[in-house]
Amino acid sequence: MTLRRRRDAAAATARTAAFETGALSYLNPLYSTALRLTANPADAEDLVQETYLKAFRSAGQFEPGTNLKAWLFTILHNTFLNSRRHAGRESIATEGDDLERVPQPEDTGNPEQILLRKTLDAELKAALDGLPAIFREAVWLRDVEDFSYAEIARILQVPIGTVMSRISRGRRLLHARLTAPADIGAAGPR
Amino acid sequence: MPTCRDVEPLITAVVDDEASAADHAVVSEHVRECASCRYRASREAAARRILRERRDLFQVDAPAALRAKCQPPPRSAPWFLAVVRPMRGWATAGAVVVVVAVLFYAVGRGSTALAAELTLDHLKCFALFEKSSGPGDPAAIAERMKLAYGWSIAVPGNSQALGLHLVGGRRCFSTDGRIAHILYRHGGRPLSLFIVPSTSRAAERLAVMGHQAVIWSQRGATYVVLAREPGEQVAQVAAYVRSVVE
Repeated sequence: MTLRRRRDAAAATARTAAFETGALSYLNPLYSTALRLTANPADAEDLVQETYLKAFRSAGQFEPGTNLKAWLFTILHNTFLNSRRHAGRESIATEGDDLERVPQPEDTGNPEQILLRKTLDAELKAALDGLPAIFREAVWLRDVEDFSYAEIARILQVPIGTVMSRISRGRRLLHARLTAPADIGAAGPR
Repeated sequence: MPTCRDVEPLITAVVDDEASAADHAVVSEHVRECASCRYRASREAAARRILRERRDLFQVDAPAALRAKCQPPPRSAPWFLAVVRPMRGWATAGAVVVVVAVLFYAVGRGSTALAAELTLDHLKCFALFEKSSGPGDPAAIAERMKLAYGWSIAVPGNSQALGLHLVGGRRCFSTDGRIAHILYRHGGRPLSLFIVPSTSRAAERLAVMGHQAVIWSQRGATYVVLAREPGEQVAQVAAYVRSVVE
């Protein structure tokens, strides 16, 4: 092998190693998200394992310099959606306004103060887990995983406007669950 | 003068500090006058803040076993060494034989090649994943395969008469991930049932790398029972599986 080809091969190996190390550094957030999607540790493990299998197989399609985390999350969500489709389980949450029944504002302190006073960790987790899936996913990707609107739109394969609408609905539903849980008897299925 | 309907789509971007200066000004002016929109913006901002402040609450460390399973295959080595390396501790000469045999048989994808690949997976999974493949509940395994991969498979349970004990089930990743791998202990020895949905093959009995394999197709799937046991014993288990699937 010529010196140039050896150098090229070494550079390619280094790029691949960097890609693999980078991809594996997102194992925890991928697993956390998979748990929220599947609600089952065994299924979450399978989902993550399949995600990495696909990621390593299609590493050549990843564009260096772009957001690797967003790319992996896109694979994760697509894989999850495909498995739901095969199982005949489409999302049953709607985008309609009927999910939200929130009391009108009163002059008893601003919403943030009420929220901070009342929130406990377990309640926060339960409130987030109790959101309809399409809103929970959008809020999770924005406020927990810190993706941009455009990245979320690519991951979820919906328009940016839909992303923003779902984030808005999700956050307001979350607030409603945390501050007045007795009023949200039917805030939508999972 | 912008109405609530005009302003509502802009609120999220303002809360996220992603809005343009013009949109920010429109929303700011409107919420000064409109209690309902002001309350809506406050609720969104509050929920956003509480989630961001408590982000660590939602992060779960992946189990160590999952981390091991997600490692990429070795780049410079042939694909089969991804299996041989983890087996180094317990199968030395045997592993070498397996590698050579797979090289020899992997040229085609006839039944012999398939049995060779599955023998490799049988060895790998019992070495690495037996403990994480459970629980040994046939209905739970079938349900998981159905929900995760869309495969409708019948999973035979234990058979006291045969001394067959169901250990667990997983997806067979070493064969393009299209095969269900059900793990058993037969008289205490490892025995695998592989199910390939939506395929059909002629029935065969093969000897591959010191293992006996019985292959047949039934109800739209191909079944392979494989173990390092005398052929007649493997055939008995295969007959049991046939009766359950029927």
